[in-house]
Amino acid sequence: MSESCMTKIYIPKIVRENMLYLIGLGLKGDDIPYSGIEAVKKCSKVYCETYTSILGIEKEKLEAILGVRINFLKRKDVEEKNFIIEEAEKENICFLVPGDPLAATTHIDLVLRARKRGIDVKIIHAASIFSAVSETGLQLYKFGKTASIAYPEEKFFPKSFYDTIISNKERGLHTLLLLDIKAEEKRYMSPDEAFEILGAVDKNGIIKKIVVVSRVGRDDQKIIYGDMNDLKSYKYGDPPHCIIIPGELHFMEEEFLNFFKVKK
Amino acid sequence: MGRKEDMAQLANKLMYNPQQIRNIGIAAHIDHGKTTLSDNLLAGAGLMSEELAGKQLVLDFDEQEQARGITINAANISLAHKYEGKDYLVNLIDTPGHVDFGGDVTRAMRAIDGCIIVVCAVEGKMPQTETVVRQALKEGVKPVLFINKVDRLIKELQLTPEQMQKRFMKIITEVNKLIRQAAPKEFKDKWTVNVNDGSVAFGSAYCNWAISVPRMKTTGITFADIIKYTNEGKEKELAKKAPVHQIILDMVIKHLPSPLEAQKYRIPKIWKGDIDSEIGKAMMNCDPDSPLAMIVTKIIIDKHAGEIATGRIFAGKVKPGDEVWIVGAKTKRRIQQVGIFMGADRENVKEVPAGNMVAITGLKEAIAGETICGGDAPIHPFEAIKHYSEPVVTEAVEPENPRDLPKLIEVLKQVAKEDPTLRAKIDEETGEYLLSGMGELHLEVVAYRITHEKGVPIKTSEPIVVYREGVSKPSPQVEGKSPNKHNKFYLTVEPLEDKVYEAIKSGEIPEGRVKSKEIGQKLRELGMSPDEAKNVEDIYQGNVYINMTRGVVHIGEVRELVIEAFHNVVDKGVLTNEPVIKMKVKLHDTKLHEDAIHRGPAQVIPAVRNALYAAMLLADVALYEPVQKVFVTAPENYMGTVTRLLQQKRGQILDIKSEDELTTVIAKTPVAEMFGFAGDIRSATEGRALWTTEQIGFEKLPNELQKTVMRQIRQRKGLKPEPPKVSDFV
Ligand SMILES: Nc1nc2c(ncn2[C@@H]2O[C@H](COP(=O)(O)OP(=O)(O)OP(=O)(O)O)[C@@H](O)[C@H]2O)c(=O)[nH]1
Ligand SMILES: [Mg+2]
Repeated sequence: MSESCMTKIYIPKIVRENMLYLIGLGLKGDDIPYSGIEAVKKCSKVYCETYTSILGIEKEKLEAILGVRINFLKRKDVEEKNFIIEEAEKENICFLVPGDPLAATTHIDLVLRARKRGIDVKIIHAASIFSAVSETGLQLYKFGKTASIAYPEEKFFPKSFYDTIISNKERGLHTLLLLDIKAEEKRYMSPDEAFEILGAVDKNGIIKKIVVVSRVGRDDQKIIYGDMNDLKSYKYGDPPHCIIIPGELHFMEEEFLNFFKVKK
Repeated sequence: MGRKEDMAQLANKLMYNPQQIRNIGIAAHIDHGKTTLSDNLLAGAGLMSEELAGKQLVLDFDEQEQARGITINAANISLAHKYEGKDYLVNLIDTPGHVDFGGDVTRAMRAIDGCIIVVCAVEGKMPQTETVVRQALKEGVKPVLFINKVDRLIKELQLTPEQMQKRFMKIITEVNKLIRQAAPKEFKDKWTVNVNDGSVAFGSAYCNWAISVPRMKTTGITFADIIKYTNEGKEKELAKKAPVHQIILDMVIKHLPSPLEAQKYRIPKIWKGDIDSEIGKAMMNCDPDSPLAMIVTKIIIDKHAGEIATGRIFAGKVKPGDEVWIVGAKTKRRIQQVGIFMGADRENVKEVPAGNMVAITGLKEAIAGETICGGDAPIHPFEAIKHYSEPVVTEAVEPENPRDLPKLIEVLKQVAKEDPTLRAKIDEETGEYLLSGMGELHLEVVAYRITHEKGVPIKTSEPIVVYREGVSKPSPQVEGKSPNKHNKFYLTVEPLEDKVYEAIKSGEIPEGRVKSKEIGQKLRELGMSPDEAKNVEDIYQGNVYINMTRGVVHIGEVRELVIEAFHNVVDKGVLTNEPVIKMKVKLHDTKLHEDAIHRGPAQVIPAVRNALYAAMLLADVALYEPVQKVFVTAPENYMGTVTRLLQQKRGQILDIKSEDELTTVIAKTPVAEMFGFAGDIRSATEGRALWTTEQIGFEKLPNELQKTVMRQIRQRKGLKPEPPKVSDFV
């Protein structure tokens, strides 16, 4: 870098006094970016949610790594109360989110509420399932709309995920299906539970091949590929899991997937 | 009793021959003599001593029935009768006449095909006469008429034969007018009663005689003879020549339909499944060799046998050991004992075929109105048995000994199961056990039964009236946001059209999810706009939910949740947590999150509920109180006193009629003012007044009382005195 160039750079010496940081924790829970670690240091309060995804490490361990006390929040505290915003009006506050902060769409509302009050918001991204699924060899360009499979209840049995699968399939696209997490009830949908729902909805047996991605990004991650029937007897282990219904396969995709074929 | 065993054998034979069966009821205004008549029929069949017939009231076997001199529980009896050389099996239900026990009449009507309407010759057609005739016709039950207490016309009123005939004609004309109004179209003329063909009889159940015009011809008995016998105290002789049981049962066999005949037109009315299906055809033909199809009309809890479900079999057979579906409860149960009624007792039998009434044990989940069937899969259920009146009076109950509380809870469940017009529930705010019923007497009888029959002594609070909440004008559109802020619902509420509300209350429009186009059509005819009528999705407790949205993706996935929120709001209104009536709820638009997980029950239900509560407040929600018609009959010189008393009770005089020195005042009064009326009227008229009531629904509480009553209810329920504000919800 030349001298003249250096002098032209003007670094404003404004110390931001109030800012809301949304910081991703990545796939494992400690995959927080370096800039995130820096931001945490500037904040007078650190919040963290664990209801949109599963934090891959112990809470205490995260506190130790970051060297701060963390307030873990329930869904209600974030969605129905406003104290995060009120505090961010006066001080630097950070809000830690497993994965990538805005990949969990619900947090858009938090950002919106902050912006409406004139609070600056900084998002610090980290890896999320949306990009990590590329480990399967399926090309990110070829994914269609994503959908969730919710736990059916007496008066609530959403089946629109199936429409998503079908319309993606018609266009040759892959479908990423996220499985329901009810953190407060400690219920995390397993692949077997998802197969059961899929089976009930897919009456004509259109879905054949499936990829199951378990604990992606962690040391014990697993990717399994095969026919739904052969996948049923497999032991997948702890959550989180997601599943992919592949569309038309490029030869490279096919070759790659074959590495993950379930043993019959 | 040898006679009884002979009869049991005969009944066992006759029940396989539907042409020789009659399933009938006896219904009337209170005290017109139903039970006295039933006694006579039993005596005639040799099932009780003739001496006691009409005096013992064996069917009022309940201790309280004996003490109060009224029928409380509908009672089943079966007996055999010979007519024109052939034996017939008559299954008969004696129903109560007091309005508070009207639910029993409604349910009995489902089990029977024909009905003897009893009218007292002195009192004539009374309010309950109208009600029971309407109920019978609504269920496709054919009536015949018995004009009772003719002895009193002779002894007390000393009428001449001409005056007597004139009086009979008046009663017959009035009853026929009712029949023409309420009968199914095809039967309007066929089912009117006629003195000349013998579908009308008159007599004295108390003195054991009766006669009809055709019988007068064959026996040569004239009106003058009747007057003579009666005045000379020779009623016994008259009863020998024209015994009431014979005249009445002959009339029943001749004019009321057999199950074979009746099921052909009744089944399409009470069962909306596919008539051309196997089971549909079997029911139409009263086929015993088909899988079972029956409806439970009453649950009795017997000290020894446990829960007994009685009902009517339309197809197939009921046999001990058979596994059957309890359709509404979605379970299967094994039938334990199967019984028929012999006189007033139950007799266990090997099986009972289609076309009969039956008593079954072992159907644990069954409640009145439940469909029971055999076969591989549950059949389409029978139409719900609609009770016209709703509970309007509530009492808090508590055990005298606090240790009995668990027992009391069990017993409350039992009594509510036996009597579907009774509601037992726990008030979540105050922890009180609340019992709601049709009137003061109803609750008094139940409290007595809990204490003495069920063995749990209880204390009851003063009765309180059950109120309703209703809106007075259309609300503006209210936006309801889900807790996660990602979903929005736009709703309005407004008063439901009067005619639509009436049609729902009368059962003309069924409650529940709207599945057929027919209902939309009917709603239009009743004055609802076509746009709304075709989008009505749910009808609940006299309230209507309309989905006016267009092209909302995923609306199907939240539909049930919106309806659930609608039900929540109807069950607990915003003002006092009392039920809501006559409200039209419209969903105009909704914005939903793309992902199903973000629009689950925890998001949708509170969003819709809060919007509806806010909308109700903006639509001037107010309290409605139950009102009743009161009929007071007293000697003319008491009229002033009676009218004054009724006016003190916020009563509105509707009509005053005079006949034979007796005057009847008809007034409309709030139920809240009628507690203790029995005592008030007795002292005001020195016991010379007769009175009855009839429920007529809910009316808006006068403005000057709104605030006070609202506060009282909230306080009683442990809520803070001021109702919530719009800002609490949006
Ligand atoms: N004089 C006279 N009294 C009768 C006659 N029939 C019944 N009674 C009397 O009327 C009163 C009521 O008779 P019930 O047979 O109990 O009347 P009910 O219709 O069964 O009454 P509920 O079941 O309570 O509605 C009793 O005191 C009977 O003795 C009759 O033909 N003549
Ligand atoms: Mg009676």
